[in-house]
Amino acid sequence: MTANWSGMKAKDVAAIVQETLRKKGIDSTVVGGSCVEIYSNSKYTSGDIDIVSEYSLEEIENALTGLNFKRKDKTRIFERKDCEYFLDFVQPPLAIGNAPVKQLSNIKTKNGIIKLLTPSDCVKDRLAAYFYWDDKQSMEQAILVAKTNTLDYKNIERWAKEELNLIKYKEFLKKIDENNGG
Amino acid sequence: MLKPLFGNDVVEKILFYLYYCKKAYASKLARIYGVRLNGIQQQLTRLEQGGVIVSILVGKTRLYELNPRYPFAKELLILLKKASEFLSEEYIEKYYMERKRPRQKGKPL
Repeated sequence: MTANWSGMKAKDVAAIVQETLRKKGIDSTVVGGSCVEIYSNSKYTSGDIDIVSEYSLEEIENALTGLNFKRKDKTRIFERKDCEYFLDFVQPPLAIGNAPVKQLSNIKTKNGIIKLLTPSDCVKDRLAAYFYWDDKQSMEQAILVAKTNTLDYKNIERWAKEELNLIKYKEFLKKIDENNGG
Repeated sequence: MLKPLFGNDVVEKILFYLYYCKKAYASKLARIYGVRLNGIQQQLTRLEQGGVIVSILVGKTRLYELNPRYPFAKELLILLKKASEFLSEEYIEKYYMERKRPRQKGKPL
């Protein structure tokens, strides 16, 4: 594949990487800040692409050789010199908090299909960081996703309740309202 | 106690410390338990890469804590809580009951 990697967006990198893995029979899901980047049309940039796969890092390493992504030492990180994003193969399982992820999204691009968290799970993932560490950047990212995507608010609220963080979830709703001029 | 499960003593020590004291940095763990810093650092890295613990840089110190977003966080806490019931009071006193309240700089005690 003769792709121009420098200046490529997360969406393009994710699609090429996942398509390559798929051809080798390796299933994977994009998670974390990269989902925010994809759903917000790059209004936020994470600098890395977090991917969860049940397959071994050795199998992934072999599959990505053709793309010139090299594993950094013995870590879970893969880099390519001319690509501004590195790949972080996060430890499975695929989960939001302590619950397994049941539903995923697929986005078709010119470079292939990206399999990633749904916008609602992406928001939950960001809000979890706000709930646990009071990380305001994560709250901002959740708002970015909420502004441009349809969310299952009932589902997110139920989750926030289970996480015993309804108060912080209400802050999120208030901020969305303010962003919408409410 | 949990060595057969975790594979080594150091991981057990790290997890017990984080269970009781919430946060820790590598050199402190090495000092408290009297083990090699390198060994502690290796296991901290392994646990962090596995998502069991997370870290944050405070000044020049990397502070570690149990990852509340680890999918098995609740179950791990239950296991550590149960295992802690088998620790002697002397052991808990020795390793986990250090002073946590503030102390003014320069104060002798």
